[in-house]
Amino acid sequence: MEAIKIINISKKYQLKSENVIAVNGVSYSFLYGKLYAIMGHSGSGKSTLIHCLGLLDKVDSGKIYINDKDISDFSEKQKNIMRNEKIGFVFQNYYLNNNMRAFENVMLPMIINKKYQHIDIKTKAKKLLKEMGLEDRVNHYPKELSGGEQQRVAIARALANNPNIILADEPTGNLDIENEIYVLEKLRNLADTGKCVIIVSHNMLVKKYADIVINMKNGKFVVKNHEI
Amino acid sequence: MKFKYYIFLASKNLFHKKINILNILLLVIVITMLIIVSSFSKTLKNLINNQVNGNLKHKIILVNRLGSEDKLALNLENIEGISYIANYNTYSQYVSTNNGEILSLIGVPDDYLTILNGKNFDETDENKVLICPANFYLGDNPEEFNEEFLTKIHNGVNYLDKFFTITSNLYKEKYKVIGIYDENKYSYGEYNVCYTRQDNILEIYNSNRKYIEELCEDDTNCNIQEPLQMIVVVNNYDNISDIEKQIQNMGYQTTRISDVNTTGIDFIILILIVISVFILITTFIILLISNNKFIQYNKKNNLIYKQLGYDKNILIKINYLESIIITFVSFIISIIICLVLYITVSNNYGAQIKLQMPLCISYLAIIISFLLTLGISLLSWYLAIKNNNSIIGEFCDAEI
Repeated sequence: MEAIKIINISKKYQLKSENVIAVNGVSYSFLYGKLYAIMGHSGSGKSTLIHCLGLLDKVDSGKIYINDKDISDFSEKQKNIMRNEKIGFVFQNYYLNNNMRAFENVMLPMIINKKYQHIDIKTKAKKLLKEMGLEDRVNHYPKELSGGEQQRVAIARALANNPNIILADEPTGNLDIENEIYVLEKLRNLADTGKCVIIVSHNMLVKKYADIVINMKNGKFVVKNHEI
Repeated sequence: MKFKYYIFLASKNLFHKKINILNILLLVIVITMLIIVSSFSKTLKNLINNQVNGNLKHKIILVNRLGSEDKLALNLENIEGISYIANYNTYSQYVSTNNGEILSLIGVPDDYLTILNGKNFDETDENKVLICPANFYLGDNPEEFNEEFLTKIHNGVNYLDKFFTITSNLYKEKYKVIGIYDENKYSYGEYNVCYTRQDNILEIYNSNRKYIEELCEDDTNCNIQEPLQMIVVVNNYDNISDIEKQIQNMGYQTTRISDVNTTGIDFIILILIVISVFILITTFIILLISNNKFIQYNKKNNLIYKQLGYDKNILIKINYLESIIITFVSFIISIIICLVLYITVSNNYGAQIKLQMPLCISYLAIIISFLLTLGISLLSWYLAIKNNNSIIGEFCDAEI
């Protein structure tokens, strides 16, 4: 089943006085149960693409379908709900709130999810951290954690609302090899449980865990030197 | 989203942002100054109240009767705002007590006073009774106001149900203290003023008159005349000019035994109001600038919430709640500072201040200061948010 379908999407942005086409008329279908690795050099448009897929950025043209729903007509509120319930993000810089303990960071997406109104989200957050091997780190602040531990907290937070789509932007960018492998294996396991996992990276190790590898160049998908 | 989570999110960032610490410091200074300034205004107003409205002297009009047959009291019955009317000779007498204090006895109707402790005149059948002030100054002549005199304050309650032997020339009677009044509310601008029934004053007056007549028996130069004046006591100083005018329009000659000029105090209060407004405007401008800068700085941080699906409105509410909490925390700190100041001032200058100027932390001043500060705090947030198109940055700008 298609998790995300994009049809001819384009995204431009202004860089000083120059118009940069970050994503240039890309079409593709991302399926559930697969791990996608989008590879490419810096400036190839892969991060912009993942922000558009995650509804963090608007596309200039083209259509995005998530779970067969056209999100171009979605209001900001509907996009927020979609992001909260259906999509989990993992970033290179973790993007944790440094003023909150690990379990409080994991609680954040659940706080606004109506599904969890009557559930003890604190216990659930601690359970998720335990699953990430961080049971003795639940009360620590991000600054007290190593990079690998912070990324595991970020993954636990991404999984808090049990989303079907995981978008990871250079998730191993700041990690040592041991933690790289841990994070990639975790993401692989998520794909194996039926989730759609899309990783944007220029780390060659990611290819090893991916079902499908897509190269990106000048805002377009390239397969064996052919644009698709 | 549950309210407890709004509190949770707002409080999490509170003490970690340097800008919030600076805002708290600024607000503590502002609230403390506002409380002090407005308490001082209140103190001045209390002073006016005590010195003017609470002081019987300032509420008295002396009216000359047109003759011994003139029914002045009846003629004044229809004028509103008059508390009571008394013959000049049944109004007040200076007496001394067995303890050596000089008391000023004033005759009032049974229902005139409101008392702090004990009984009022209309609650007892006894005749020789007194209602005395909450503070007594013993031993020395209370007219001589000095440091030593101030240390001899005695609680009036200790005299409740005790007897004073009142002496005036040949007059000597035992009077029982049945009640205590608040001298801030009913003063005569003198110390040790006790109130009694008007009959008693008349009795003392008649005794003294008899004594003087006896002294004058062989003295042809003695010329004792019945006073033709009456004392009109108005209920409020604000009405006195109006009532005096009405009495004059009836053809009577009037005199005030005291007049008060409050222009100086009004001017000080005006200056204090101007200072308060200046403080508020300055704070508002500083908060507006700092909140504006904070929003620009915080746009990137708000991306964390955006990627988790937080609505812009939730983030705005959290910002507002943060500023409410900041104001509240600043308010608590300010109250503590004010209390420490108050206790220090009271300990060092308590007696003088209590006598001359009852310095108080006014509840009203505290509430107004809090509401004003909260108002400018929220308004500065509102304008800062409005000034910035969005409180959330763009991901392409955020170098994610």
